[in-house]
Amino acid sequence: MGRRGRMLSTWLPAPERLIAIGDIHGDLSKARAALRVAQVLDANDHWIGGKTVVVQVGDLLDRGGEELKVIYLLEKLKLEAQSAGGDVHVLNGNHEIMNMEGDFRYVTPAGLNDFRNWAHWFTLGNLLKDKCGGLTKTPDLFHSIPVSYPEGLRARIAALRPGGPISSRFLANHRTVLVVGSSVFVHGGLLPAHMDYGLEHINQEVRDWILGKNGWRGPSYLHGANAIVWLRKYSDVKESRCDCELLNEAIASIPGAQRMVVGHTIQHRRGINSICNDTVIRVDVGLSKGCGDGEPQVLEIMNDRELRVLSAHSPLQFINAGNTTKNGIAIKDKDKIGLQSLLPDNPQQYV
Amino acid sequence: MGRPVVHRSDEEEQQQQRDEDASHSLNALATEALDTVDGDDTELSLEEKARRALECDCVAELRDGPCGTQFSEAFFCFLTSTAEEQGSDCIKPFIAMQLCMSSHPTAFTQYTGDEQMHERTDQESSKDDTDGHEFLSNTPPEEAIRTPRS
Repeated sequence: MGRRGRMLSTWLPAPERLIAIGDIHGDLSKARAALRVAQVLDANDHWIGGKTVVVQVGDLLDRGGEELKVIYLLEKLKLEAQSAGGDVHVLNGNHEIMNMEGDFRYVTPAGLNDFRNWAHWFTLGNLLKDKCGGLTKTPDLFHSIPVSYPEGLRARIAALRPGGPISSRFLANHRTVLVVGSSVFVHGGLLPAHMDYGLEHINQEVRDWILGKNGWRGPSYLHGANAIVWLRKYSDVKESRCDCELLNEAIASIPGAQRMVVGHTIQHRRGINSICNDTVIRVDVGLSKGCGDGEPQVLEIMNDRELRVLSAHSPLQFINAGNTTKNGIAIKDKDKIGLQSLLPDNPQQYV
Repeated sequence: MGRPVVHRSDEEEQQQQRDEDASHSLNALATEALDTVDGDDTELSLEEKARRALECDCVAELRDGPCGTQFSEAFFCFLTSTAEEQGSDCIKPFIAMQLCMSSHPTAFTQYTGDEQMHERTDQESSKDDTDGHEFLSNTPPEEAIRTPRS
């Protein structure tokens, strides 16, 4: 199912229901939990979200040992969602970029082992092909990687370097920036300078790099504290450390944009929240057990304007444009019995 | 926190993943083998086409090898699969084939990292990497590789 030549559109129309999910970091069960809180995944891992569009803001890799399973699950869901009129989009986070460039500081032993197993089966698959007359010989998965490297490391480099099987097949189809209706999705954050460069340009250039066209190291705007995938100026848990002015400048330069949705910084003890008059929503709740095992929460955007935090345990919260976030606010739609049944027994709290 | 009563096991998820990889390989084999099937396409059943494809010389080494039975079953299942993701309903024969291949390492030798062979492969693939005149390696250089501090 080759999708290599396909262009990834940077701008998409707003769906009726849009869900944002934060960093997953190799934790399959928490990924499932978040997708179930979002009501798009059933008990058998099938899409039940109808026309819902899900955007996952990056960082599938590192800190957990089930990275490949998470990648495959989201990919499978994407196909099922598209059949139902919905979609699933995944962004590249800083941990994807790091891994593709050989920076494995946050890999777990389980993660290395997982990729070692993957390489075993992948090369066996190539062997099958090689034993079949008439097919071109498969390229050596490990070409140019020193044999002196440990097996898990070799496998991870082989899989994730630009042009590698996992990077080409999956990560190259993940955008770096995505605008859906009036919401701008990005892992870290966008600066006005990034806007000058051009969002489509960024997406295309990163994709070309991941496909192996431009060497081992990615474009410069992926590195450093002000990188698109590293910026914390809008996601610092301490509001006072955030730069609302800069954020508004960035948003103002994106036609039609009203808000930015970012991951990257765990919102310790706060859960999903918004600052700067709801112009940035921070959705990284540290889901992964390797990140503190945060309670599953997702952001729901209805009709491109009504923002709500969905979670299994906390009271549902509304984020209203122009107001500050309040907890335990009245739920407008009392028909959401499914979610309410998961809440603690406090019906009086919700009028 | 309540758990759903029925849920896909992690093993199933991993198998699904392996199936995908195997499917990609089998896709290539299928195309090759099916091309050799004679006769009017519309008159042959899917099963008959699959049977004939297995007789192709191009899969002889696999069919007649130590895991021939398992390969044939998996391949047959794949070719006759009408699931939306072809072969996704062939988990059992796939597992059997994979187990067999794992227990016959000599017949299914992977690149074991023979140094000499690798040096040659390195040089060959360096040339393959070039797109034009400039050589751009996609492999992070040793000094760029960082590992977790143990």
